[in-house]
Amino acid sequence: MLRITQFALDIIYAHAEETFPDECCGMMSSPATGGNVDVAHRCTNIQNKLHEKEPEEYPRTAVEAYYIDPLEMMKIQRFIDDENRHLAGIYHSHPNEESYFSAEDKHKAMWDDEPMMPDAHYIIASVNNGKIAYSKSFTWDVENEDFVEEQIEVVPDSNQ
Amino acid sequence: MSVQVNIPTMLRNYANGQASIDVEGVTVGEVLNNLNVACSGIGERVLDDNGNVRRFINVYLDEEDIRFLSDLDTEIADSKELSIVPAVAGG
Repeated sequence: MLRITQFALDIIYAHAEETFPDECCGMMSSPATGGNVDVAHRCTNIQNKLHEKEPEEYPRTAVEAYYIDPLEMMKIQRFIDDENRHLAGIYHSHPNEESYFSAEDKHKAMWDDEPMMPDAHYIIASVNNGKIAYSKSFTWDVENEDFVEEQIEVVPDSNQ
Repeated sequence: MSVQVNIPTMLRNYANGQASIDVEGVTVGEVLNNLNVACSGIGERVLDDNGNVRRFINVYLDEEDIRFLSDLDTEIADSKELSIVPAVAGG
């Protein structure tokens, strides 16, 4: 189950509406392993840049794909480590699309046959005509060897 | 000569959970090879069968992408940090 503060979820939803009709993306962190996710780290989706430069390698635009700016990711990882926090997961949006863990989402979240982050939460927000519709969270399930939907519990901001 | 190699969360199970390790080497390639000696198994996540950096791995020397420098031949020189940054992407 993912426990996330209203504050962090609001940041994700605002980001998803702001970048519509492109996908938004970012990282999430918690004070400790298993703690409530209380920070959403907004990232830049560089998918359009990659698509312009190498359309064969990156056939999709940001309307239907995301790629977190690696330099931003490096800096956020450093911040999380410096603050003794825990990288809890990744979020992105599906503009005018349902929330589901797509084949592409799975492909990019795996090292060959193993999940890159077996404990991570992946929030996917469905955005309908520029407004948040709903979101789901997914996590690796050892028995099914696949990403499965998990419950989201939104907790008050002060409840750490 | 050594450099601090920053290990992303995704690869820390190869590094006893450490966020960074000091590794010897004159070039980025040497450092990555020595990293694989220190952290067995990490090399095949970072490098492909031909010894090149895998497509969905980014390597930064300080804040420069080594693909825009001399790739694995880039000399560490006065650089302080080598960061391994896996692509975080999807559809």
